[in-house]
Amino acid sequence: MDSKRKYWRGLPELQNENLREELAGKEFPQEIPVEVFLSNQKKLEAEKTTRRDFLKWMGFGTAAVALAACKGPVIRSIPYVVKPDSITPGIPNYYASTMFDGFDLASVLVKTREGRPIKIESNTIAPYFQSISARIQASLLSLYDDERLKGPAIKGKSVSWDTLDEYVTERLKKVHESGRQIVLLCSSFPSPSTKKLFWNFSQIYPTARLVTYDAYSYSYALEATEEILGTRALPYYELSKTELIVSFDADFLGHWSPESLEKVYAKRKKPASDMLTHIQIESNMSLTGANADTRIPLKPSQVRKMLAEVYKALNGGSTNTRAQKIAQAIKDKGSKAVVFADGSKEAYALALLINKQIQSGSLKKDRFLLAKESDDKAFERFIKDLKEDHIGAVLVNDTNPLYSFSAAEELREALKKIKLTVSFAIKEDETSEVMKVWAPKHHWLESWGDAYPITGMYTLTQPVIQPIFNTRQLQDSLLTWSKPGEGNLSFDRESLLSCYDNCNGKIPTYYDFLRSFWERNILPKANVSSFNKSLFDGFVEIPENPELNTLAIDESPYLRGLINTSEKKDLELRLYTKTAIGDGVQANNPWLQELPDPITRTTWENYVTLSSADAKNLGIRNWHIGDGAMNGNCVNLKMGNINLEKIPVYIQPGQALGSIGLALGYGREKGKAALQASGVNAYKLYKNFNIFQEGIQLEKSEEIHKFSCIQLQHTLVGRTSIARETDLETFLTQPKKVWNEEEKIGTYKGKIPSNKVTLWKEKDRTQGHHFNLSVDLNACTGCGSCIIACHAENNVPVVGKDEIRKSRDMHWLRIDRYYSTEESFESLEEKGLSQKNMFSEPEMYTHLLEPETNPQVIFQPVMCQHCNNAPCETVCPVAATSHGGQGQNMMAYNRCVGTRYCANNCPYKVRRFNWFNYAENDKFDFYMNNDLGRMVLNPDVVIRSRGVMEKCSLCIQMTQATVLKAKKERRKVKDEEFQTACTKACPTEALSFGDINDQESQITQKLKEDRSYKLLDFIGTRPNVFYQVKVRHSKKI
Amino acid sequence: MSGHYESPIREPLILGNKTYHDITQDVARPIESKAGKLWWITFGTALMALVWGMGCILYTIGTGIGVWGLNRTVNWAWDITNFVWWVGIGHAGTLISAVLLLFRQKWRLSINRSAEAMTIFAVVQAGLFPIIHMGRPWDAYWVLPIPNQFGTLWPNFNSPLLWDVFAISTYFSVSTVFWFMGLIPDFAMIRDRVTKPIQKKIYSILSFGWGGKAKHWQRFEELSLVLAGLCTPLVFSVHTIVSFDFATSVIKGWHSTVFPPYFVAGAIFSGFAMVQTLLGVARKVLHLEDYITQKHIEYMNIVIVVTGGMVAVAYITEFILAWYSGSPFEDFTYFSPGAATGPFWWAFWALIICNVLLPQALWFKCVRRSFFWSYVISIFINIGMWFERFDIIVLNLSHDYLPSTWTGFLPSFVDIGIFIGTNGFFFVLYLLYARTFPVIAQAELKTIMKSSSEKYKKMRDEQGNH
Repeated sequence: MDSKRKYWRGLPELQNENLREELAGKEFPQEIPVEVFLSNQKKLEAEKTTRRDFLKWMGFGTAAVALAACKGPVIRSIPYVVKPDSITPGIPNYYASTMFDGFDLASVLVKTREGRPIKIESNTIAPYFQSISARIQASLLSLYDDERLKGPAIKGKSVSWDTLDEYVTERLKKVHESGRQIVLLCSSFPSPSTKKLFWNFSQIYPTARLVTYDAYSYSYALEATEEILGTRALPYYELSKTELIVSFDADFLGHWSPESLEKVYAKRKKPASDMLTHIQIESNMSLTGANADTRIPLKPSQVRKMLAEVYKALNGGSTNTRAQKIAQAIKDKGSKAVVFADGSKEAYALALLINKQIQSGSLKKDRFLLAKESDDKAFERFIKDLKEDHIGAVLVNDTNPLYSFSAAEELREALKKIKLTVSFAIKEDETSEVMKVWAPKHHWLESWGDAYPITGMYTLTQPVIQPIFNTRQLQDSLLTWSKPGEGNLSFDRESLLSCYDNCNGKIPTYYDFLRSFWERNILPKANVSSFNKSLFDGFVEIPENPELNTLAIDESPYLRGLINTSEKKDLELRLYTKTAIGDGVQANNPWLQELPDPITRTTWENYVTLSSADAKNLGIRNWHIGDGAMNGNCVNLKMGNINLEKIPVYIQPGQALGSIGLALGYGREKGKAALQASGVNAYKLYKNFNIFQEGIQLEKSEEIHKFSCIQLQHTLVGRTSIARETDLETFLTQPKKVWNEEEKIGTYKGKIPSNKVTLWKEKDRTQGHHFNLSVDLNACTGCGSCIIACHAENNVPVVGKDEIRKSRDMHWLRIDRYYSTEESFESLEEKGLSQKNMFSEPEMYTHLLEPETNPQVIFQPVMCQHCNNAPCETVCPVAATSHGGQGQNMMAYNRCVGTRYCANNCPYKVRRFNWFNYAENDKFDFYMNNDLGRMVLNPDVVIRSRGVMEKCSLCIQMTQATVLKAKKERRKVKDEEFQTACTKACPTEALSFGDINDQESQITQKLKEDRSYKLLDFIGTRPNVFYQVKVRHSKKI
Repeated sequence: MSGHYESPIREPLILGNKTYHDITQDVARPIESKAGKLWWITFGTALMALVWGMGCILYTIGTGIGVWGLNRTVNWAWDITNFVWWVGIGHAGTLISAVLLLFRQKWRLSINRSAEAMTIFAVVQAGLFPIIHMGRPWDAYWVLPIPNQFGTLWPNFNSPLLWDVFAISTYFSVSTVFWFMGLIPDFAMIRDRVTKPIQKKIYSILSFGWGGKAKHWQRFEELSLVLAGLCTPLVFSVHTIVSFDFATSVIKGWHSTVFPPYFVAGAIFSGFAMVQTLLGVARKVLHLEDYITQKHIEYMNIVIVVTGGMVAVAYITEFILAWYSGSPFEDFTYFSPGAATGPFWWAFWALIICNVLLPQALWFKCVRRSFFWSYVISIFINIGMWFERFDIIVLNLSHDYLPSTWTGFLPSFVDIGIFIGTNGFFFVLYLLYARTFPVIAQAELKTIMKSSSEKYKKMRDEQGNH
C-alpha cells in the first residue's frame, strides 16, 4: 500500500495549503467551548435538571435506543411507477426460447416473474428438442451467478466497450495485414444467422476461420454418418415403433444423442405384448444400462469385438454364441430393431451399417440432427497452425480448451504468444485467464439467437431479462468489429450491405440482423405469418427433404478397426459424462453439483468406478464410518506419461471386469461452487477425443477419500414390496395378485386389505379436489430432471458437500436407486437360511445386503406421500403439520417449533429439517447468500428459516393458482391444468398429477390400473402418492 | 411364654446405638461445619462441566441444531436418549418415598430424602432436553395450551410429546411438593440449631413456622399419605407416557405394546442404580455409615435384580415377537447384522452386558450385601440404561423402512458437551443440596428407633435368655 497517500477533510483543506498545516496539529477544527459552558455557574444552577431528572432521561434514552434497535429488518419493495403493459405483479409471464450453452440445446419456455426469469420449462408444442434435462433447467441459475464477468476488460483492467472495440479492431486490422489467420474457436454453434454473420465478418477479414471444437467431441460420429449416409450430421432415430434396441455402449438416454430419446423410449416401455426390449452391452454402469432389460458388462475392447461379432453373425460368420443370440434377436425383429454404438468411428459406422442392413424403421433417412458440429481435424489443424505461427488472433466462444483439451499445457504456451486473444466467456475460466481481451457475452437468457438443430426445425432465442451486467452479445461484438467501409479492407460490399440496409448504414444490432435474416431466409419457407409469431412459438417448422447419397459401402475397414485391438492386461478406461455436470460447462452450478448421480448417488465429486473383483485385487475398499458416511481408498492413475493422483474409487456393481470409468467435467480451477466439488480433470486422459482409453495402471494410494453419497444401502434387503417389479410374461398372463399383491393386515377376522382397517374416523374426501400423484416405475429413467424442477419451484436450499456427507440433503424429491441382490428370500430358503429359523437370520440378511456383480437396477422417485392418515400429523405437538382439504399433508412453517418428531415418524423419510439457516449464511456461500443469486427464488414460496421442518407440498402454490384462475373465469378446472413442478419437468411422463374426484381424469384411470400400488401400504398411512409396478423383459442373453 | 417373640434375623436399620441427639448431630453436621477439600474439588469439577454444557447449549441455540450429529434419518439421538435416561433416573425417589410409604417399608427412611432430591434434580436435567432439542426453542411455549394471540390455536392433543409435557411437569411439581413437605420438620430442626442470623432467617422461612405440635404432626402425616397416594400413579404414568413417544409411532422397533411396562421397569431399575451410586458416595463423604447399612443396600439390590429381570424379559419378548411376526421389516431390526454385529454392535453389547449379564451377580448374597460390588454394578447399570435408550432411538431410526435412507450416527462435540453439562448441573445441585439440606429425614427416622427395649435386649443377649 502507498503510505504516502494524502487524505483531506474537505475541499478547502485540499486547496488551501496553510489550512491543511493548521489543521494537521489539531484534532478538532474548532475549539470546543468547554470553558464557556462550565464557567457560567449561575446559569447552570438555575437549570432545574436534578440528579433524578438526569437518571430519568438517561433511563428513557437507553430504553429508547434499545427499543429502536429491536426493530425488524426493513425490506423495501418498490412498486412500478408506470406498470409495464405486459407485467402484472404476481402473474408469471412465459416466453418461448431456445436454451443453448455449447453442450445442451432445447426448446424451452421461460417463466418470468416481475421481469426476472425464475424457471425453465419445456416448450411442449415444439416437435423436437422439447425434453428438458436437469442441466437445461439448472442453466437458469448460472444467469444469477455473482461470479460472472461484470464488463469488458483488457489484460484484466476494466475498460469501456468503445475502448475495447478500438483495441480489437486495430489489432484485427494488423493481423489481417500481416496475413495471419483470425480464428473463432467455438463449440458447436448451430445458429444459421451467426454463420451468415461470420461469413460477413470473413468478407472483411478474409483470413478469418471458424474452428468448431467441442469439449466432448461428436466428431467421429459425424464422420461415420458422413461416410455411411453421406451427410455430416447425426442420424435421427424415431423409436415409436421400435421393439428392440441393442446398444453397444451408447448412452442414448444420456448425451449420446443431442436430442434426448428418453421420451419415446419410455413410451415404448409401456407394458404390452410389443413392449420394447433393450439390450445394453457396456463397460460402465450408465443410466441407459440401468434401464436395460438385459445388460452385458464387457470391457471396452470386448464391447467393440462383440459389435463386430454381431455384425458377422448377422451375415452368418460368427462363432461367438452370445453374438449369435444377439444377432438372432435382431433378425427376429427385423426392421423393428435398431442398433446403437458409441466410442469410435468404426463402431458408429458399423451400427449404421447394421441398421441399414436390417432396414431399421427407426433410422430416419430424411432427417438429421444438426446440433453438433464438432470437428476434431479442424481443431488439430488449428493447434498445428498455432505452433507454426500462422495465427494472429484467437477469439474463443463457449468453449474452454485450456481446461478440456488433453494437451492443454502446450496450447496455453502457444496462446500466450498470440497478439490478440479474445474471450467471450461469461465468467472467468481456465482459458479466459490467458486471454488478453475479455468481451463477456450475455447469458442465453439475456440473448437473441437462433438455431437449426434438426432438419426441418429452426428455433429462436429471445432475451427475457435486461442484461444484468455490462455485457454484450457475441454477435454484436462481431458486427461492431466488422463495420464495413473502413480503411482499405477489401470486402464484398454488395452482399454485406444487403444485411445492413435496414439500418441506414449504421451498425445494425444483432436483433436487426437476426430479424432481417429470418425474414429473408427462413420465414418465406415456413408457413408462418410473421417473425413475431415464430418468436411467440419459439420455433418454425420447414418442410425439407435432404438429398441422400447412396454410398457404396465396404464394411471391412470398420470391422478391422474394431477387431484390431490388442489384448492387454492393463485396465481400460471408459470416460463418461455425468447426468448432472455433463461436459463441465456448468460445473459452477450448485444445483447440479448437488444433484445426486442417478447411479452412484454421490454429489460434488468424480471418482474411478471399479468392479468389486478388480478392487479386491488392488486391495481397495469402500466402507462406512459411524455416521453412515462412506469412505474409500484412492488410487494413482497412470496412462502413458499422464499421472493423475489420489482419485477416489467407487466400487460399482455392474462395472465390467478389467475396465474403469471416470467422469469428465470435474477438477475445475475456477468458480466457488466448482472448487468446492472434489475431483480430477479427466479431460487429461481424453486423448484423440476418444472416450475409450487403454493401458491404464492403477496403484493404491495412502489417501482416504470421504464420499458425499446420499444413499448408503444399495439393495432392498429382501423388501421387494417397496420397489415392485415383474417380468412381462407374468404381467401379461398372471392375475394381479401374483405380481402386485395387495398388502394385508392380520386381524381377528383374518387378513384384511390394509385400507379396510383403520383407527381413524373416515373423512369424506369426495368433495372438492383430491389430489393424487402417480409415479410410473416403468417410465422413470432416473434422469433427475424432476429434482432440479423441484429445486427451482420450491426454493430448496443447497447445503454443500460436507452437509451432504452428513446425510443432510434437503431434496424434497429424491430418486432412490436399488440394485438387485443375487439372493432372494426364496433362493436362500433352498440354502437352508430362512426367516423361520431364528438363528440363520443374521446370515440371511448378510446375503441380502450385498448387491450382485451385474445387478438389475430400479429407480424409485420418493417424495412426501401425502398420507391421508399421516403419521407425522399425529405426533406434532403444535399441529404445525396438518391435513389439507385437497389431500395434501401441509406444513405451517411459522408454527413449527422443530421437534423433528414428524421426521422420525415418517416411514418414507421425506421430511427435511433446516439444520442451519441456509439463506444469507456465509457458511453456505451459494446462490442464496448473495442478492443476485436470490433473484432466482420463486416469490410464491417462502424461504424456510433454521429450526423448521420442510417437505414436498405437492406444489400447492401451483394448484391453488390453477383453482383460483378457473374460479375467476367461472369454469371448472381442466384435468391437464393441474400440474406440479416435477410432473411438468418429467421428460418421460413417469410422474403425473391430478384430481381423483374427477372421474374422467387421467390420474383416476391410472389409479384404477392393475399396476398401481401404494408404498408401505400395510402401515395404514393411505398415501395420496401411488406407484406403478415396473415390468421388464426377463429373458437373459 | 410371656412377651412377644422377636425374629433374631431381622437386622436393625440404624447401627451404632444412636440416641435422638446423635441423629440430630449427624444430620446437621454437614450444614454446620465447613465444606471439606473433597467437596470443593467435586463441586468445582461439576461447575466446570455445567459451564461447558451451558456453552454448548448456547452455541446450539445460536447456530442451529446442525451442530449436533443428527441427520435426515436419525432426527433424535443423544438429546432424547439423555432425556429418557434422566427421566428414568428420576423414578426411584418417588417410588421409595411414596410407594414404600404406602407399603410401610421403614427402611426407606434413611434414603428417601436423597433419593427424592436425586429425582427432582434428574427431572430438571430431563426437562432441559425437550426444550433445547427444538429447532426453535424460543417458541417452546407454543406446546402449552395457553391463551395466545393466534386466536383459538391449541396444541395437538394427539401428540405424545404434548403428553410428555403434562406428565413431566405434573411429576416434577408433585414430587417437589412431596419432598419439600417432608423437609419441613427437618428445616425446623436446623432453624433451631443455627446461630447465624441469615441462616436462621432462611431456615425459618423454609420451615413454614413448624412448631412440632401434635396437630402439626397429624397434618404432616395426613398430607404425606395423600401425596403418596397421588405420587404412586405418577411413578407409573410418567415413564409409560415417555414410552408412548416411541410406542405410538409407526417406526419398527418403536411400535411395540410392551414398551410401557418395559419402560417403567427400566426406569425403576436405573433409578435404583443411580440411588446406589449417589448414596455409595454420600455414605462415605457425609459419614452416614450407620444409617445406610448393608440391609439398605441389599433391599435396593433386590429391587434392582427384580426390575432388571423384567427388563431382560422385555428384551427377549421383543426378539421373539420380531421373529414371530415374520415381517422382514420387524425382523431385520433385531436379527440383521444391524443389531449385534452391525455398525452399532458396541451399543448393543454394552446394553446386554451392563443390563442383563452383570446384574445377575446380585443373586448372590455376598455381592448383594457388598458395598463395593453393588457400587460397581450400579455404575454399569447406569451406563447400560443409557445405551438401552440409545439403542432404541438410534438403531431403529437409522435402519428404518426404506433402505435407501439408512444412515448412522456419530455425536458431535456439542452432543457430548451437553450431556456432560447436564451431569455437571446435576452434581452441582446435588452437592449444594448435601451442604444445605438435611440429607436424612431425621424427624421420621427417629420414629423407628428402638429406644426403649434396645438396652434390655442387649442385656438379654449378653446374659442369656432367662
